[in-house]
Amino acid sequence: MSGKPRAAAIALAFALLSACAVPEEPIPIAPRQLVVQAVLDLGAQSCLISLEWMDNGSRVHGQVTGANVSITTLDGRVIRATEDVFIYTPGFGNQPRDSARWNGMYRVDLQKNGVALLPGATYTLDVRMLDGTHATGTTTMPAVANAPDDRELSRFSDLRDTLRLSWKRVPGAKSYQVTVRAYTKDAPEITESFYSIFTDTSVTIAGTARSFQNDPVFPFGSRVDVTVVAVDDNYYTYFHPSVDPLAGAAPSRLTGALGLFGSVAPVVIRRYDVR
Amino acid sequence: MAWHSVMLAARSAPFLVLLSTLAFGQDPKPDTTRRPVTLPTIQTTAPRDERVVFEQKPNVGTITITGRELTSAPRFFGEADVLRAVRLLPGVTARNDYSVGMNVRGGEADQNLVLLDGYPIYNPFHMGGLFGAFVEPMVDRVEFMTGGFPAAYGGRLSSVLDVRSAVEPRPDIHGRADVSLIATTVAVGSGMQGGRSTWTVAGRRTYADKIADIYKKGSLPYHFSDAQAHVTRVLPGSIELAFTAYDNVDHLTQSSEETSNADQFHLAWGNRLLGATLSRTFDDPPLLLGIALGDSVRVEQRVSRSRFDVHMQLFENALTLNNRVIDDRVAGLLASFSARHTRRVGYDLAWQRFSFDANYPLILYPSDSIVNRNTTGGVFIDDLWRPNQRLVLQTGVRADAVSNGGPPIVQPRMSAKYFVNGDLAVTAAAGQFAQSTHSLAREDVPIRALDFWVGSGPDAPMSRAQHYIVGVERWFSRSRALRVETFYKRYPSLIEQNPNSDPNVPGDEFLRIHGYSYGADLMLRQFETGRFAGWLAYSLALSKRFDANGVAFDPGQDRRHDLNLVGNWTGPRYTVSARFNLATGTPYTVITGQFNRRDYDPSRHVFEFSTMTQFTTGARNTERLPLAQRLDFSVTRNGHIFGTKVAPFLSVMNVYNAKNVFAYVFDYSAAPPKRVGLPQFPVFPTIGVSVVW
Repeated sequence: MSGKPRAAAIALAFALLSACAVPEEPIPIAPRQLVVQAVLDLGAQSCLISLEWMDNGSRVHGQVTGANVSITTLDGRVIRATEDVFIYTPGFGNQPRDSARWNGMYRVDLQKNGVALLPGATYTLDVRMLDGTHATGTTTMPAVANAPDDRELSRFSDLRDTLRLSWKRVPGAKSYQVTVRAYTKDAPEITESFYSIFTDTSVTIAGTARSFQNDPVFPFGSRVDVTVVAVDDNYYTYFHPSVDPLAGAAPSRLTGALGLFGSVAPVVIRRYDVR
Repeated sequence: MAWHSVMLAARSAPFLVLLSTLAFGQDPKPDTTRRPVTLPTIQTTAPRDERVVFEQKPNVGTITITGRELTSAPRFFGEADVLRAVRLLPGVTARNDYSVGMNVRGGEADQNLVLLDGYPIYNPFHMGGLFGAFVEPMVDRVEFMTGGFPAAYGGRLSSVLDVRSAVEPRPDIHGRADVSLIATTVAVGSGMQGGRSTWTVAGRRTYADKIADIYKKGSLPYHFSDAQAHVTRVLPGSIELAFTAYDNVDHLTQSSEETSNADQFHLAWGNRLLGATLSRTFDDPPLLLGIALGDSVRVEQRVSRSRFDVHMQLFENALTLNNRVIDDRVAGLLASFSARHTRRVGYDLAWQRFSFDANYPLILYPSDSIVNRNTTGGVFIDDLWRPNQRLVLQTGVRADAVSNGGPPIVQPRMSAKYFVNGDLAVTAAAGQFAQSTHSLAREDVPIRALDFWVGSGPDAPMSRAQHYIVGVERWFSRSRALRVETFYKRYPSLIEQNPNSDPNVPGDEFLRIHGYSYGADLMLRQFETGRFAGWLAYSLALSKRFDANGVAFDPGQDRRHDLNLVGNWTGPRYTVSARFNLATGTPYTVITGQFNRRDYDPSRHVFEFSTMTQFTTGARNTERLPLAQRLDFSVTRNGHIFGTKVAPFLSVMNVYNAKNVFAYVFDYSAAPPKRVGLPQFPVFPTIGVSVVW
């Protein structure tokens, strides 16, 4: 084959090969990394710590068992966590009804250990894995007294009413998270919709508002829990950015792991019957 | 008969002018004798505009091209598109089919100044960049400056795209209609008073929504439209008035009666421009402070309002986004012409209002509010000097300032051309450039549907760049030329959108970066004299940027090699056009893993079981997309029906269906992990017809 036809044939073959290529391909397994997500909640009687291995393409199951997890208080008291274990419930497949219970979830029972979280206090999380992986982090609780649990049922019209709340600024709070969780009276453990925003010291949400998933924030006929919590810098830094595949995970304040050890303190708690 | 002469001019093609001069005697005395006179016919060939520019200006980094040449490239979805065709020129790279704008010589996509008759346009694209918004029959010519541009141009760091409207000097109404599967374009115009007054009007609208309505009302609630008008008139006193109006809008609206409130949405974006220019040329100019201004002087005054609006409302305002730019501008120019000098001094003064707000964060834009009310001012002086037959020098200086943006930035600029012989010249240019308008789009995001514009301020300083260019230009014949230029661009100050900006913290919307780009580009151009016309354009560019911590990375636009072959063969019956592109991949950031970011529910003190997948990333832009290549093709039948030119065409985009990847989706939940390439447009044939009268 002379020069020109051969060059043309090579060019044509190259073009056809490119055109036929299937744009899906395997990639190498990524290094394994520990992900810790833990929140100290001034209004809770226990602290939940989620441990899992990041999905890296290996067949290793993500949820972590057998870890040694503890929280150290300001006065040096060390409280060990116990491991929650997911119990298969027929009829619900692999979906645990109690979202606090699944493999890899650890619980520090504050009440049982006689520990009361203190506003303004700093706590240290310590995680030691069986393979020697070690992760630590600290958080400082916003300095506010626990809000009264005002869950007396109020009526709310999704067509006529607007939720308007305001609260005082809390020392040590980076921001305030407003969550609106809707559920049915008959199955309060199943979340119908969950709406969350960060704001300053007030919020206004129209009764007809919808979440970005196009779900009503106040579904007609549902019960709605509205909670405002003051959050520390760790919590806000972790949760306020959108999930952005191009920017990567939000900066982690943990050592030895990705994720979060943050704290929240309730400042407003309301419950509405949406009619 | 009094002494006078008459010149007849006939323009049959862009480059050929036949002149006949009738001289009615040299004697001013009346000649009452009527007798036939045989006059000699002179035939001359006017040089191309590009050749004139080659001989008279340094024109470093400048490509002058007619709208007709630009649109000789195959149509995109059946639509002739000047802005898409500009992406085929040397020094220009386009990220992919889904991104607006272009990257010029390694610059970011917001560094390109787009002018229509000298007035700025902020976002001249439709459908998230799929189509350019200029109405093609209204484009007379385009001057595209890819670097080292003169002091008269300010406000952008990388390029100037100066689009000039077509005028119709012929009497009677002439026009053109283009009908494609997507849209219909109609342009009409006429000349009056012997061409001293002209008008042209054009419009385009897509109609896929109307066709879809036949089957189900509101099933395709999207359309875009353009309207453009250009009027010129010579007023008493030889004052020339030119008026340009331009409007384009995209509508994506779901609000029919059948739709519930929850499912209604409204998205609209577009530009609106009104501009007027008064100018006058003085052939015998007066002295200014005792100084002769030259053999002739041209004075020009422009006034314009350019506006860009984006409004999005989804899900009963669960997602709202608004961006508005209002640019009120006055600008003036005084140019004096003499045998060796063309001197220009001018100013522009703009009152710019930028506002952006979004209530929900997505990767395409920040969830934040930014408002600027800026007054920007620029002054310049520029001298084009021809000291001898071999040398052309253009020197100038420009100063730009923006209110609340710090001290003025002085930008000296210089370019030169040295003629080795009549067809070969060596060129060089250097200059400084400043920019006070910034896009919120992130260069790392592969899809750039729209640019959202904000102005400089205390937290977004003016960006700065320096250009250094050396090149060679060679004309092989009157219809074939080659230009090679090398460049080095230094960016001492740039800003990019902060993907982690906090809506509650003012001033963190931008991150400061700096860097450089260097490379070369080549253009071998065959002008339209015979059956074949086209060009070969090759661009080499290497870019590096440094973040605020000094960490180096390849910016998202860093395409190293880009080759475009554009050809157009015109026969007696058919015109065949083809475009082939071969381009190396742009960088991307590799995803290294994923985990579930669990929302915390403080009402129950538990983590929500439903989660969002959070990806972790490797070092920024260390991987590259694969090589991309594509062939587009069109064939046009050139015919006439009842004296009207009728040209049906078939256009095929991506002829062999190359699956050019523009981004990857990673899945680490699979074992082994995999990535899926997202391809650009597949093969797409379309038909249409052009009618010219």
